[in-house]
Amino acid sequence: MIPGLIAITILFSASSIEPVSIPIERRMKTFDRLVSAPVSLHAVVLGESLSGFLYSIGIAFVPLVAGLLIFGTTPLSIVPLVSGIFLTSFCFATMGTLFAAYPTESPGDIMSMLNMVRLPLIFISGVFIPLESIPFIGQVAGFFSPLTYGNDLIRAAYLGDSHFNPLIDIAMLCTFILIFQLIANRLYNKFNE
Amino acid sequence: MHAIEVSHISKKFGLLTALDDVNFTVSKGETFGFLGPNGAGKTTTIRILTGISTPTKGTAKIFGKDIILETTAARKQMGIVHETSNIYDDLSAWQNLMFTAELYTVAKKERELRGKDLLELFGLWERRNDKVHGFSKGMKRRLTLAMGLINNPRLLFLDEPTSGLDVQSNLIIRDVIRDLNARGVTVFLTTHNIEEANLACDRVAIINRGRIAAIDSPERLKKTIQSAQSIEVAFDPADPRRLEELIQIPGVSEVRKQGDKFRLFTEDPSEVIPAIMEYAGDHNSRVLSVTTFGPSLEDVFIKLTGLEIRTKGVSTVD
Ligand SMILES: Nc1ncnc2c1ncn2[C@@H]1O[C@H](COP(=O)(O)OP(=O)(O)OP(=O)(O)O)[C@@H](O)[C@H]1O
Ligand SMILES: [Mg+2]
Repeated sequence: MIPGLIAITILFSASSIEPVSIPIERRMKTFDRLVSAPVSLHAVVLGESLSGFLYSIGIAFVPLVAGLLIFGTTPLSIVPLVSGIFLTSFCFATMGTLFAAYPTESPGDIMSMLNMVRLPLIFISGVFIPLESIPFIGQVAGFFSPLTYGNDLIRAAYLGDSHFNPLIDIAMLCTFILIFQLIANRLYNKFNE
Repeated sequence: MHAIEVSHISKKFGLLTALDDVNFTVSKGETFGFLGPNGAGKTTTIRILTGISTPTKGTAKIFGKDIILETTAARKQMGIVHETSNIYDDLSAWQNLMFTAELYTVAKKERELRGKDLLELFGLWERRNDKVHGFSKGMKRRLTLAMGLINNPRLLFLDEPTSGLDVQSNLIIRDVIRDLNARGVTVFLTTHNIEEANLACDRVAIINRGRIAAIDSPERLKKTIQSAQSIEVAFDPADPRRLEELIQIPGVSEVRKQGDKFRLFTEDPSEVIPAIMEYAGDHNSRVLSVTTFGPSLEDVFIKLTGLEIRTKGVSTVD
C-alpha cells in the first residue's frame, strides 16, 4: 500500500505547483519578466518544473516516514526508491508546467483540465489494481501513463518485485520527462502572444 | 548598425490588426518616443521588440541581432520596464533587484554595487529590506525602473514610464532618462503624454490604430502644421463681445475665448499682430499682453490621428 500511496502523493503534489503559480505570475505580469529575460524557454520551463519537483520530494517523505514508523514498512533497496521518487516527481512537475502553458490567469482553469487527466491515471497505472488484473484496453492505456512506471519503480524498491524491469521504468520516465518538456516548450511559444 | 531596426512588422490577434506594416529605425544613443492613444499598438510593439510576442509578419533587429532568431543575444543588451510594475510582492525591494540581476547573469559583486546605486538613485535605499507589498504605486514604478537598469543595458525599453505618477516620481524618472541619454544609452519609450514626448525625445513616432502616421523630431513635426500658430491677447477692458470683431481681422482663421484672453489662430502672426494693435486703438482699449505660440506637438498629434473630429472642443488629449 505504501508504494502506491507514495506514487499518488507525488502525482498530486508535483503537478499542482505550476498550475497555480504560473497563472498568478501571469496576473501579476511577473511572468513577462521571465519570458523576456535572456534565458531560453527551455530554461524557464525547466526552472518552473524544479519548484514542483522539490516540493513533491518533500511531500513524498510523509507517506514514506509514516510507512516506516506506523506500519513498519521498510524499502528493500535504495536505488530504485530514490530514482523512483526523483524521476516521478520531476516527470509530474514537468506535466504541471505543461498544463500551465494554457494562457489563463486563473489557476482553476488549469486545475480542472489537469484533473481530467490525473484521476484516470490512477486507475490505469496499477496503483490500486495490479496491471495484470485490469482489462486489456486498460493495460494498453497504462503503457502511456508515466505513473505506471513511477509506481512500478517504487514498488520494486519496497517489494523487490515489479511488472517491468526497473531499468525500463527509468528509461520510460526519462522519455516522458523529455516529451513533456518539448511539448511544454512548443506550447509556451505558441501561446506567447 | 542601428540600435533598433524594424521592417514591415504586422501583428494580428485573430481578426484584429494591432500593427499594420510598421517600419522605423532608432539610432544608437537616441531617445525615441512612441506616441499614440490607447490601443494604438505601443505595448504590442514593445512586446515584439523584446521577443515576448512573435510578429505575424516582418522582422526586428536589436543592435543587428534578429529578435526572433537570436533572441537571447538580442535580449542581453536590453533592459525592459513593462507597462505594469511587475515585481514580486512578497519579496523585498533588494531581493527583487537581485533576482532580476541573476536572470541577466550579472556577477554578484557587480549586481550588489549597482543595486545599491540604483536604489539610492530612485530613493528606495532606506526601504530596501521592506516587502514590496506595502509600496506605493510610484515606489513600485521606481523599483521597476531600477530592475530594468540592473544589467546596465545599452538599450532601455520603457512602456509608459510615468503614467499616473506624482510630480516627484515623474521628475526622478525624467532625470534618469536624460542621464542615460547623456551616457549614450538608447531609450525607446512609449507614452500617450505629448509633453513627455516633447521634453524627452530626440525623435517621435506617432502611431494610431497600428499604423505609423509620422516620424520626426518634435520641432520638425510642429513645423508641418503652420496653420496651428496662434496669438494670445488680453485686452483692458476685457469684453467677451470682442469675439465677433476679432474674427474679422484678415489672416485670422479662428478665435477662441480663453478665460479673460483671446486666442487667434493664424498662419502669419507677424501680419496679425499690427492689426490687433490697430483694433485696440480703434476701440479705445489697451493691449495688456500679447503672446505668440508655435504649433504644439499636441496640435500635430490631433491633426495626424484625426482625434479632433471625435473629441471636438476638447483641446487636451492626455
Ligand atoms: N494578447 C492580445 N490578444 C488580443 N488582442 C490584443 C492582445 N494584445 C493587444 N491586443 C489588441 O491590440 C491593440 C493594441 O494594443 P496595445 O496594448 O499595443 O495598445 P497600446 O498602444 O499599448 O495602448 P495603451 O495606451 O492603452 O497601453 C488593442 O486593440 C488591443 O486590444
Ligand atoms: Mg500599452
